Amino acid sequence: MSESRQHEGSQVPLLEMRDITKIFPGVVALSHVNLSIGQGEVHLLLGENGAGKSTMIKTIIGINKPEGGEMLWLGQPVRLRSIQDAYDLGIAVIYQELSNIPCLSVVENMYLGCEKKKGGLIDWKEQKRSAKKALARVGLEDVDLDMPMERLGMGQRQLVEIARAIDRNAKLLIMDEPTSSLSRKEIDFLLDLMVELNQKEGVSILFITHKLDEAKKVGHKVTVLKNGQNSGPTIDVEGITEDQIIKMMVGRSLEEKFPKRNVSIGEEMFRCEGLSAEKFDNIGFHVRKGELLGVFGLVGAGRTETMRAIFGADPLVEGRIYIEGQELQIKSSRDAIKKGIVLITENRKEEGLILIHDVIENGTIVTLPKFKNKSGFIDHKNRRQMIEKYGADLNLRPMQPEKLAVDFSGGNQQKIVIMKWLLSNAKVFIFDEPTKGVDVGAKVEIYNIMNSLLKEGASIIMVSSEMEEILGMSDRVMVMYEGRQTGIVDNDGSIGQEEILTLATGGKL
Amino acid sequence: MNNKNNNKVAGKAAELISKSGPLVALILLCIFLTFKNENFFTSTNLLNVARQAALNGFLSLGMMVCILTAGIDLSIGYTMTLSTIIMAKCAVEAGVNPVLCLIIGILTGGLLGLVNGLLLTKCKLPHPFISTLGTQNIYKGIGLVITGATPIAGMPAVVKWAGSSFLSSSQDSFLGKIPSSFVIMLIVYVLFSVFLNYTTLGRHIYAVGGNINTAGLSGINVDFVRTSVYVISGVMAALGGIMLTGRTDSVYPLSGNLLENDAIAAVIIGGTSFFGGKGNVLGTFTGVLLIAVLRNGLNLLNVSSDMQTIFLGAIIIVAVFIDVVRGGGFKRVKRMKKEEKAAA
Repeated sequence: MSESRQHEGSQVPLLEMRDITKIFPGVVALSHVNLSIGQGEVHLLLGENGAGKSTMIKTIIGINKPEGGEMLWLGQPVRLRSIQDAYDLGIAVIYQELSNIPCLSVVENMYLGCEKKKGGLIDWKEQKRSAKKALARVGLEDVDLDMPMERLGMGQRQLVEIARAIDRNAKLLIMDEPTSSLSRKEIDFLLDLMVELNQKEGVSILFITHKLDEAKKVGHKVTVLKNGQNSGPTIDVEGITEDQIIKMMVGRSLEEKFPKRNVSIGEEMFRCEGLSAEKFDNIGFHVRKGELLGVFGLVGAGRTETMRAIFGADPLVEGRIYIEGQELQIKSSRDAIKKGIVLITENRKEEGLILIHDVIENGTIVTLPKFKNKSGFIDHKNRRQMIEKYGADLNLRPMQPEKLAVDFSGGNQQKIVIMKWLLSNAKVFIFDEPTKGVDVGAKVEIYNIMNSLLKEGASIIMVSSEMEEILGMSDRVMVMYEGRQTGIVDNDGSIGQEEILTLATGGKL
Repeated sequence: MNNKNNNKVAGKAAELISKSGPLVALILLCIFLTFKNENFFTSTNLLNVARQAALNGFLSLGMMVCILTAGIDLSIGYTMTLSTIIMAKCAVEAGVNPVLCLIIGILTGGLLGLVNGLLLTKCKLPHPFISTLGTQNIYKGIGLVITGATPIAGMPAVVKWAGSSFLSSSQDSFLGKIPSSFVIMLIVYVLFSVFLNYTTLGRHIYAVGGNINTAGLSGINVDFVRTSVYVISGVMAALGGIMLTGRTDSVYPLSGNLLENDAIAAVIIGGTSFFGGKGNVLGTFTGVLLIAVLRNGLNLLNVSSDMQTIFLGAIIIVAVFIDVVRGGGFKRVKRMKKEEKAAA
């Protein structure tokens, strides 16, 4: 094993990113980051959500123009103006969310933007011939080239993208969390393929992942990012433990990450029974005043769908919903909001905010009628004062009511979304992935806001895919698996990650 | 501190100029025409421009609210025509009370708009481009069938009043030269500005156009807002129709032909985002005047109407391009440079 892992360390690195600094409005996303990938090396890039991994990738492929630092390719300084330049160098990316076009055929997707031509026309015969060859190398020799991409499974689509990269003679393959939506079997195949490509073809791989066991299986070297900076130097994977890596990633203990709260839990606030719709079946739970119910599950467990139905955003086929003991008829989001149930969606930018509008408009979108004066017109001064007050409470930065939502960082955008519901005096807050895309510092602030909501007697239902967050914040945890509720457990220290994962994968305790 | 204040003032000034780009263009155009043709800057000519601007002025307001929700109303021209036909039929052939005729005309416009809105929100047609393209032809056809493709003339004085009268009946006085239609249009523009800025429906129109998903999940009745804008558009079309009917003393069954083009042009030149959520009444007003002055000026300069079309097309593209330059990429880069400096 260790023999096969050897790679020539004496050569010039394939890619060197030196002292990279990238600034977005309001956030320093990368600060003096160094990353050096040797020829024929599988390099791991690890870090928490918001640590700057995706920003780093985008900088490598020329989408982000860094404010500082330089990039060297085989020792020569290069400056990429676009992703096309990156392709030309021999860099290919397999994105976290697949970037192919579902309605086009496999072969069209393979050569999209780099069509093989003869006499100015597309040479289909040649494209198919070489596509077949490349696909065979990723184990897809039997796939029908004329089939639309959408008829392939997720794992196969990803393999097509890898075949595309191979066909273009990529020297560096960047894989951004490629295993996040794959089945166990597909993951194993992919990892084997990575090793094979690396050893047989000498392709260097930059592997970004959250899953440390996978990472350790294939990686040679590891670079860890934390808060947009290198967390220590690049080290050999050989001989390092997972715990050591975690320490580099997290850098602080769980207690600091999840602020303590001292809230006495009151009587029942919200209850639902027998909720059913297309994507979930027979869900029932309750939350009390001052209580936080975590909802955990893997992708496709039906958590978001359930929450959207409770909020009236999607129809409910069956089920009863009660608030403070009274049964509700929720036909639309408007009904839910009137009764004090609100949803802070996972897709902040698409569903939570109006990005082209300012903080005032976004903050008062729900409660606009409350700002009418006696003659029925909106009192803009009052509106602004309210936003300033709540903005200060939430520590919105920068505190500029007229700044457009699009210009705030992820964490502050989340504060704007929370602000609009705070103004509505909601009682039950459903947070769907509240800290997705929020940097570590701002996460703590969001948790603090959640804690103070609980202190004021609100109830919170928090959907999260981050085990740490679930364990760090919840009073109780409901676990879902394939649309079913597989258990509700007290988070009093008696259960841990393993138990919850067992439930989340359909097992029993 | 002083420096900071200066920057602030400079920033405000820059913002004002960039916001009033069309206004600057309008003023430049007027200055140019004044020097180029002695007949341009005369009260008779300017008031004539004002009178002719009223029709497009109303249509553009209707078009604007639709575009603010990221929609469009292609039927606006023939909504106008059909509502004036119904009004004229009532007035001339059925002898209905003229005031009632005006109300019937406005209600017809609203009803035709309601159809557009319901096609979008209840029948779930994917985009108002489709529904209003369909109704444009339907409304046009109904008008032709009802009238047998012949114009209706001889309106009662009350029906004609809004489009044909002046503020005072004595022609020599100053007020006697100011067309009522222009003043009515001004009043409606002010009311509209208040509507869009100070009422919940007005703000909800911006919210729906800004992000329809967010608006819906924030408890806004999105279907109601989207239906409303087409009703408003229909009513505005009817009002525009009343102005036209008064000015020409007749209703012509093809009068709505291509009127949506000028309305869209005025709204877009006025800085309303075609993707919704951004735009204001003052901009649209400027756009309306710009088009009216342009047409008038080119007439005075003896430019053929064929050539005028080319000019108008170019202006639309230039106006939006300027918007792209100042609102899009360029501005963002400048801002990021600033943030970078601040961070350093």
